Amino acid sequence: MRKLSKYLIGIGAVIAILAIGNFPAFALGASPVALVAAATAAATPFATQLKLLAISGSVYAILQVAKQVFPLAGLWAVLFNVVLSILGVAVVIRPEDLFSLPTFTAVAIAAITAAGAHGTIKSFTSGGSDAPTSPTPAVRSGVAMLLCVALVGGLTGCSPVEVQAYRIIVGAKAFTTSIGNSHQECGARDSNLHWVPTPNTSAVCSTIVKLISAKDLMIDVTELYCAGPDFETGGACNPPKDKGVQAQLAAKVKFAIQNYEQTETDLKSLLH
Amino acid sequence: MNPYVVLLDLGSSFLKQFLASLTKSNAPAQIIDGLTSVVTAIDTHKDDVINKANLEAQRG
Repeated sequence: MRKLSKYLIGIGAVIAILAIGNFPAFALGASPVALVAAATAAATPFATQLKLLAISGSVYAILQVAKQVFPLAGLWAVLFNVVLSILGVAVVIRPEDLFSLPTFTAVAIAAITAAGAHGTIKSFTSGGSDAPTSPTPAVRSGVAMLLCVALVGGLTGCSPVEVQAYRIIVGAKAFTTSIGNSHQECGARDSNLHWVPTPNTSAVCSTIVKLISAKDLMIDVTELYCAGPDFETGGACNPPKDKGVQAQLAAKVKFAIQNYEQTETDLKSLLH
Repeated sequence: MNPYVVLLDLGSSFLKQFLASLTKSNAPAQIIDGLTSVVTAIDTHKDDVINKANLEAQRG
């Protein structure tokens, strides 16, 4: 009975964390059932969830190995679990999402799942009693190997900066075109599909011009980030090889994206 | 970052479903149309090579 209540508390905590993490989507009217259905139908189904599972498994495996060397137990084991979960999530999370609610949620889920895996395996190996026993070395090494393979697979799914920026630029072009078509008093598209504003000083028209400028700024900084011998001659993006330069230019891309999104938010509030 | 941009990593099918549920909310039609065109455009260009020509095509 005591063990059942422990599991129920754990499941309740995971559901609560998932609900908090998805609050922005729910606030915009998304249905939880629709979100789960869509995640199932996605091109890479449950990609984020699989990465979290891989992190949790790796944390569990590392903890088991660490316990053989250090006397890790109680609060220290919990702290070690949380620190490893933070490090695991920091590796797979996009830099601009580092200090965000989804990241916090991911760390919490990883830590709770790792602790849950530990408790579950312990209960199996101890024949259903709560007595503390450890899984056999064969089980530990097998789990560690499987989960490390899964973690490597999950890591390869991260999108590079230029891919993220390009997606947002493509979306921004579509959004500005759609909104421009709805506000023909503000301007029209020429034969090159470039926006030609009419002399209209209304707030909506001014913000559409600002939004298009913000989109073009994203293109400028992405081209700066991609600049290199291949890119300048029509080839694919050449991200900077120097880590310092790459971090600086990635920060510029991030700033341009934030600038665009702020302007888009301003326009949406005007249109509401 | 806007929620629909964050959700991009879960795939465009996920985003389409999200927008379908958004349609049922009270957001203005022009914003829903705009976001729907965003999803369609991202889906269309998902396999594009990121080169100067493709970036320049998004200007204006």
